[in-house]
Amino acid sequence: MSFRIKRLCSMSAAVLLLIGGAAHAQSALDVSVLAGSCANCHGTDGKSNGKIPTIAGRPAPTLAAMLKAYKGETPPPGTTIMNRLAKGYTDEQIDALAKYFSEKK
Amino acid sequence: MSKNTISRRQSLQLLGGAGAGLLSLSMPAIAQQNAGRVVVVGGGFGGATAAKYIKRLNPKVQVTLVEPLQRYYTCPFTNLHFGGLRTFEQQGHNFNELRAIGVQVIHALANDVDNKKKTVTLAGGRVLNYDKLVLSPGIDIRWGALKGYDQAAAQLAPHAWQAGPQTMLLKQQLDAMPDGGTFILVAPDNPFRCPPGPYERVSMVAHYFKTRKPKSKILVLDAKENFSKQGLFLDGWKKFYGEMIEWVPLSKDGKVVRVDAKAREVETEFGKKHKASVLNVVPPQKAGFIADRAGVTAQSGWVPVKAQTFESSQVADIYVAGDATVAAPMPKSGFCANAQGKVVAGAIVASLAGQQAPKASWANTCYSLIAPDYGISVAGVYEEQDGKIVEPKGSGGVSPREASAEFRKLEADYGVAWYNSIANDAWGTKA
Repeated sequence: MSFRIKRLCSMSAAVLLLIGGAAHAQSALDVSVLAGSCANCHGTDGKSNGKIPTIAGRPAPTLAAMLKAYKGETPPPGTTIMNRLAKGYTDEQIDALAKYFSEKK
Repeated sequence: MSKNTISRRQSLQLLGGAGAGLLSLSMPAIAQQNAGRVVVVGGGFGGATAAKYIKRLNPKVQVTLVEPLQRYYTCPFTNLHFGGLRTFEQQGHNFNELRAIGVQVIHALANDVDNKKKTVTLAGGRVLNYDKLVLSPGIDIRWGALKGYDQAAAQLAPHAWQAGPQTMLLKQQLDAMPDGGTFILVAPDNPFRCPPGPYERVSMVAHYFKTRKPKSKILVLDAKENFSKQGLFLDGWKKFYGEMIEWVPLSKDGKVVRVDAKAREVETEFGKKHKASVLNVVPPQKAGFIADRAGVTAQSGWVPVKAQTFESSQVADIYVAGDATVAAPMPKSGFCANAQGKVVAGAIVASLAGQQAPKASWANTCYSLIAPDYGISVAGVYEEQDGKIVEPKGSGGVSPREASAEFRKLEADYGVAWYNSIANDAWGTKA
C-alpha cells in the first residue's frame, strides 16, 4: 500500500514539474480503465438495468464515503461482495472513481 | 518523446477535468483522417467489449468485429438451463448495438493471420488489414489429449463447455435419462475455462434430479485435489442434495485417463471403471486456434501477454483478451474477459494516438448457483506491478462459509443481475 501511494506521489511530482499545474497523477484514460471494472456489474457508465444499484450521477462525496465504508472491517448491513472488492482500491483511487461516476449523467 | 507524451497526457487530464464524458480524444494525432484500423476476432465477452470500448474512447478508429455467429451464446448461465431455471435462448446475444455505434460486424470465421503483413484472412478468402488486432478466441478442446475423447466421442458424451449444440445435446440426454440413472462429470486439471463451472453444473443437475428424478446419482471424477469455492460447494451440496453427489479427487483415484463414449464408460488412473447413464466430459483445453495461426500461442497452449496492455509478448500489435490468455491470478471467466477487453481498448486507443498506455486495472466476480435462492461468489481485484498481475493485499475472496439465508439469496439475485449488466455492457442486449 505505502509503495503504491509513494509511487502515485512521485508520479504526481513528476507531472507537476513537467506540466506545472494539473494535480492528478491519474489521467482521464487511467480513471476510465479503473472504472471499467465497476461497469461490469453496475452497468455501462454506472447505469444499472437491474437490482445492482446505479452509481452514475450520485454525489462524489456519497460514493466515496460508501466505498470507504465497504473497505472497513464493519461494512454496512447487507454487504455481500463490495467489502472484498473495495479493499482492492486505495483511497486515492476511490476518490477518482467517485468523481468519475458522479459526472456521469 | 517524453515531452510530447506528457503534453498529450496533460491534454487528457484537462479533458478529464472538463468532464470525463469527453473521452473521445480530440487530439491532433487522432483528428487525422485515418485514426487507425482495428480488427477484433471473436464476439464473446472479451471481443464484443473491446470493440465497443474502442469506439466509446475514440469513434474515429475503424473497428471491424469478426464473429461467425449471428447470435452469440454465452457459456455462463447455461448451467441454469440444466437446472430447468432458464431457457437456452436467454443466453443468446445479437450484435445490433455494436453496429449502431459504428462497428463493422462481419459474420465469418477468421481462418488465418499474417502477423508480418498484418492481415486477417476470413473463410471464403476475404482479407482484412489491421493496424491493431484483438484476438478473443476463447478456448478450443484439445482433442485426443484425454484418450478416447475426440470430436466423434463428444457427440455421445458432450463436453458442453462451448455454448451451442453441445449444450442442447447434454440437456436432451439429461431429459431422456430415466430416474435412478447416474450422471458422471469428468473435471479437468487446471487451467481451464470457468474454474467453478463444473461444480455449478453439478449443483444444477442435482437440482433437476431432486425435482424430477430423485433416485438418480451424480459422480464427479476430478483430476484435481481442490477446486474453486470448494468448501461452499461441499456445504451446499450436503444441505440441498444430501448423498446424491459424490466428488472423487485426484488422491482418491478421481483422474480419468480413458473415455469410452460409446459405452458411456470412463477409466481412472488406477484402472477403475465407471459407467454412466449420461456422461459429461469437460476435457483439457487450449487457446482458440486463430491464436496459433497468429503466432501468439506458447507451448503451454495458452497465450502469454504483457500485463499492462494484454498485447502478446510474442508478436507486436496483437492484443489478446479472455480465456485464451495466461493471466493468472485472474481466472478464465467472462467477467475477466470483459475487464481485459477494456484494458485492451484503452491500450489500443492510446497507442494509436501515440500516447502511453493507461494504467491497467481489472476485477472479477464469479457467482455460482447451488440451488434456487442459494448463490455463492468469489471476487478479486487485480493490478499490474512491475510487469506482473497482482492482487492488492487483503482484497478479494469467497463468500463467508457461515452466512444467513438472506445473504445466499442476495448473492443468487445479484448473480442474475450481474449477468444482465454484463450482457448489456458487452453487447447492449437484455438477457
